[in-house]
Amino acid sequence: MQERSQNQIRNFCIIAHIDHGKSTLADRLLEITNTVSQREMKEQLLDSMELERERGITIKAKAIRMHYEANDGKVYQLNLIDTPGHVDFSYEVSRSLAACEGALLVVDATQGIEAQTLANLYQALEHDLKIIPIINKIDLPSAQVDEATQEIDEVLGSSDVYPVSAKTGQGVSDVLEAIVKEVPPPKGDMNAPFRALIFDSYFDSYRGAVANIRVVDGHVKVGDRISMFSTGKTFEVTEVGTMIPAQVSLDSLSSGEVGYLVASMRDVKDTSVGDTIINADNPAKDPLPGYRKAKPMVFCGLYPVDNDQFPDLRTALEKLQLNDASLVFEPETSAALGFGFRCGFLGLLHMDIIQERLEREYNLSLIITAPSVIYEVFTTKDSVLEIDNPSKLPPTQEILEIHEPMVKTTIITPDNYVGAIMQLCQDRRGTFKNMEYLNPTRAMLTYHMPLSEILMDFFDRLKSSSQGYASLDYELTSYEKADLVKLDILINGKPVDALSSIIHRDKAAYYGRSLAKKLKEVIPEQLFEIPIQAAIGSKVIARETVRALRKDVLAKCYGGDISRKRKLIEKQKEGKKRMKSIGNVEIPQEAFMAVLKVDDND
Amino acid sequence: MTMIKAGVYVHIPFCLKKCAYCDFLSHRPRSLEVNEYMEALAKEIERFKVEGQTLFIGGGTPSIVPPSLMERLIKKLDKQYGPFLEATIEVNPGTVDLNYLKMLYDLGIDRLSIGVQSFDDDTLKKMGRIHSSNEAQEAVLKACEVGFTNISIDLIYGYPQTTIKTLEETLKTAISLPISHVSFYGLQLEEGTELMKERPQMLSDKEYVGMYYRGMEVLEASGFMQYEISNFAKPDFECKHNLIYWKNLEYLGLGVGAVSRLGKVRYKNIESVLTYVKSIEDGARTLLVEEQLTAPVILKENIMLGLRLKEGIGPNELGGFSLDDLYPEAVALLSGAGYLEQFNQLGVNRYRLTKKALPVMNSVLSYFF
Repeated sequence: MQERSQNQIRNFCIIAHIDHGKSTLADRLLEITNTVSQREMKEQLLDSMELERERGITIKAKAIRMHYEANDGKVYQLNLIDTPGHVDFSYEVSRSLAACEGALLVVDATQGIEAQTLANLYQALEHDLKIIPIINKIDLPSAQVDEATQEIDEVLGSSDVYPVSAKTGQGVSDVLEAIVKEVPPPKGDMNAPFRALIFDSYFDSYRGAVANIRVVDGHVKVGDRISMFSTGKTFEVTEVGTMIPAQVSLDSLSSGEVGYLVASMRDVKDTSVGDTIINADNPAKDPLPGYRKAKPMVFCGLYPVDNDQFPDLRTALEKLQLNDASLVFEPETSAALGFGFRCGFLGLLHMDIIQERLEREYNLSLIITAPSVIYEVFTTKDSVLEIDNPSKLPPTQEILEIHEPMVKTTIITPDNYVGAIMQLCQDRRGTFKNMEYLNPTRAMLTYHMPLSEILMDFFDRLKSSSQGYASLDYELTSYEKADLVKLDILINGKPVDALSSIIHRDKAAYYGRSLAKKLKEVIPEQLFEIPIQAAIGSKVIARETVRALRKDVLAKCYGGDISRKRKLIEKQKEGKKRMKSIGNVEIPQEAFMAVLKVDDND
Repeated sequence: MTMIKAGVYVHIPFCLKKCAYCDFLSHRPRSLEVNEYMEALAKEIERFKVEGQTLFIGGGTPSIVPPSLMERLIKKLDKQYGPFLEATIEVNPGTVDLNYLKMLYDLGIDRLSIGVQSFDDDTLKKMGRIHSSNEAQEAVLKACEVGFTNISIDLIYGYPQTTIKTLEETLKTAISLPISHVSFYGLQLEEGTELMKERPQMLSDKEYVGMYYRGMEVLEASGFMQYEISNFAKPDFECKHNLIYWKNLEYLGLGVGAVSRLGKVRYKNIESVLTYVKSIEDGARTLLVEEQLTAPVILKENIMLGLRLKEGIGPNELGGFSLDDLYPEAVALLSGAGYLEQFNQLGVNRYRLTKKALPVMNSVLSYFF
């Protein structure tokens, strides 16, 4: 096997939008190549984490090796490298792409190309990957193969497409032949010093960090001493192998091959995605291109509802971090919420996923504060502060300038929603950059926008402005100066730090009013009247009151069934436990996210 | 060995017609079902030995049980557990005549609880009641004629599409009748009821609470003193049986779905008549659930029940402590906001809910749970 020439290796990935059928197509490929029998196949093998299955998305990239006997009679080693399908993980995507020579572009015949697909496709083209366009779901009555072909033509300049139904298997064997014929074999130097790209890593409690790698030059075998280019740390290789799809250990991996590597590395931080592994005793001079450290863009506070759960939260975050080097956290204290952590994420989805895993897998009940970006604050003391928590903003008189992160936003939409979407982008302080048509009815809009505006429920608004059709992608471009102020919320006369936000001055008054109104809606009536105020500095700009509760379920008597009555009140009390008690006010979790749900137009 | 002293409750799970709002355990009986059930009840009665304090035959509609069967039941209860300090039966105004009432009276029943609900014909119709306002008034008068001096009526306020006007009319009629006790319940919309299926427009909290307060005013002005959150009585006519529940004392429940509290255990009987009858015939237990009452649970319940009462709670119900010993913060907060008041009874500090707290009792209680 090791002796096989690189000519019989094909490394490829699949680029597709959520639900466009990537996993189903992968399943068919595995089935046709007899890598996995139908019986063994849990419905979609690649997405193994429960949450991934539920959301139908792939979070962590993985790789599977198949052996395929092509029509030319030769047996090829096909390595399918799975890529995360979401913008938050675009750096991981780029590393996965860098491990491939070809990409299957899967477009849903009923939906057409979506913004994230396009973003990934452009990345693939930048990596000089051979693109094999596939139109999926041709078995559906609503399939519009011609329109989809036209869009692909518009983007790729070629209407050579493979129509398939991943569900029924129709056309899939043609795809396998195309992979062999069209995707170029790897071109590494078998005799050069060892170099491999880490495109994914995860933590295994028995073996430590496991790196998924693409060997570019040379080879690696058990017993080799390896070194990480970025850190210089060295390790001894204890195992190499491949996934078919269960892990099978091999003697070595050589140029062109994809597999995994174990080397008693204690931490996924030792196996940073994008880093180059070299042989410590025969080191290659240059790293593979493109390495950078994943930098969190979105921050929020995570607080246990019950303060006693603070240590549990720390343990849970530490465990998640073992597998996710891009998750960062540090302890913080909130006057309102007590002890918690400020956590940094790659993006909103990443944040959602971590929160859900904490609540579901670790059984924690959390208060999550509204996400914030990192602001650069230039102070009168000649320093630049990085502020990831609105309540940490220095007093106005100490601030010279505040700079905020800006993103290039790409939106693809059916053209009849263009007007509504342009309005939305404008409301969100976006600057129009470009509009082009992918086909006569679908447009691609490009805007320059503050990232903070994207965090404010932008995606949901975009979806509702386009009846769900528009898709979104964004990437960080720069920091720019903006006229921003801190908006504080006072409940029962006391400022609640966890409800503070940083907002553009022009929007602050309006925003403060709607936030106060929103909070009034989500804070339930209690035995006491609760005043809610929004303030900028010492100036109160909005005031609402949650009036005192008039009645709850009146005390019906169930005869002697006192247990029933008692359980009713116990249940009510249970509901209260999901809320955070600040002063004498019970504040539900949603209140802390209300900041995001402030309507643009009410 | 001394016998347990207990209130005795007997459940009759039958009605001619289910009322729209009702989620109690009752249904229209199949033929012979009543006979079978009464037979089983007689056997269940024999299973227990307690020193009866009070008797309460409730339902359902106990008064749809034919006179001969009812006579046997009451005699049996009397023989096994009597004599009682108070013996109540619930009757529906549409199901009783003078003879039936006379029979009950002669058998030693000394308290009638009449399910009136409203004296407004429109409202009665909406509720799905089988009687008119006139029939209800006549039932009270007949009971009086037979000799009953302790008559209670049930009234419901807050029914959809009712107004404070119709409620006032009902109250006016109520206080003109020779009754000694009123149970004044707020409507609760319950899962699975006909009313729930109608998805009615409920009254606003303000209207609802307004009706409750109006009822309190009218009744107290006519000499019906509020001794519990929903119950009003002329002096010395408080319901002794219900007070046993509210004081978390011991009681024996017989029949389907009936709950007993004996010692530190609360039991609930199975709810299906069929299974109940079969179990009794087979000599098997009729238990649905049983719950061991631990000290903290009993404490919670004592607070929950005690705060329903005008006499509130004090050291007697709280293991020798005062409420503010046990919950200093909650008591300070709730007292400060006017939900709880302290008073002195025979030199002992007690706490009770204020008028303002009654409609939000559950929320107040959650501070102690």
